[in-house]
Amino acid sequence: MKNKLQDLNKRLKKFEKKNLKKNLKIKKNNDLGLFIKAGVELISPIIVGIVIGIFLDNHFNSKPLFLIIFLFLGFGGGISNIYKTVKRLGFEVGFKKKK
Amino acid sequence: MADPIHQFEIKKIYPLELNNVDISFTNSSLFMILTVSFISLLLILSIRNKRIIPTRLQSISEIFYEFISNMINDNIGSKGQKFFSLIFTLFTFILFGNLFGLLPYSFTFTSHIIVTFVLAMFIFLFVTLIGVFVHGFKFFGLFVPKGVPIAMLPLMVPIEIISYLSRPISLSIRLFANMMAGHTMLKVFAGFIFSLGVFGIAPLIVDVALTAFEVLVAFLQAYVFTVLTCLYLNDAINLH
Repeated sequence: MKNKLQDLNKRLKKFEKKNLKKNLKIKKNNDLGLFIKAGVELISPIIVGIVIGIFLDNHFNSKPLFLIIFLFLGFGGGISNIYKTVKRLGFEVGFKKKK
Repeated sequence: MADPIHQFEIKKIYPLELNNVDISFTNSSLFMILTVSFISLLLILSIRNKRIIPTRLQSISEIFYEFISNMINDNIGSKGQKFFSLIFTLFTFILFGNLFGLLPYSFTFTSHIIVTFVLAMFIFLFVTLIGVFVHGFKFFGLFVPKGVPIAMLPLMVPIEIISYLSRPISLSIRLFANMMAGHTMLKVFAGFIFSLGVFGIAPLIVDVALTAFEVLVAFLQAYVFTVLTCLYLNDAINLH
């Protein structure tokens, strides 16, 4: 009986160790999530750019200077989102590579 | 023909007003409360008599638990288990909201952009606060992309900031658009069934297939919403 219990204990510890190791490293296999998001990711920065542009224009009475500037920044943001998706750089801001 | 947009109309069930702000109890709020109470009931009833060998009901909640737990482990790592309750609540709320919306005579609250936008905005602010809280001022260093010439930085930093700000928009539009488009399509085809007479069998078959497809979309969109939340949390917690 005692032997059996010790054996079980050993096996449990082994399992826990294995599980812990598995939990510590992050798997990067979310291809589905990566590509489902691509379409909306292209247009949403443009919407944000337009909203910020209109807001600033109303604030400074400078129609349509800021709208144009932020519209183009929005295009850039969309392209940068797609670039990150395609290059699988993950979802982090910027282009820092994972070590 | 029936109006396919009519199903998204918000009806006041109990009109309320506070300081000239309309806070009426609507059919949207009714279905949110129904969803939350259904989830609570399901979870409470299923773990009332805990067993080592789970009953059918208990295994439903165990499947949910393990699904979310694995999702967090895969996307954030074991550090993310702190946020289990948030992710679990989010997933079940959106999933059962979507599924309840598929029942006849019901209302889909996830097909309103304000609902999904508030959810996404809450996550966005939460993730940003977590990032600032864990990493302090260093968190904003992420807006400066590595390997970009200094001359390009005045252009790249605003682009990165806009792309960061666009997260709640893309998160909310994805869920809202999928739900609204699917339900509108169901109603459009349903409208053809009676007006076509005998040939109405064709749109009826399409509608049956679409209903099955909508169940898939309901699961998929809830999954995508929570996976993206996990990934955003991962950015904030495991800053590179």
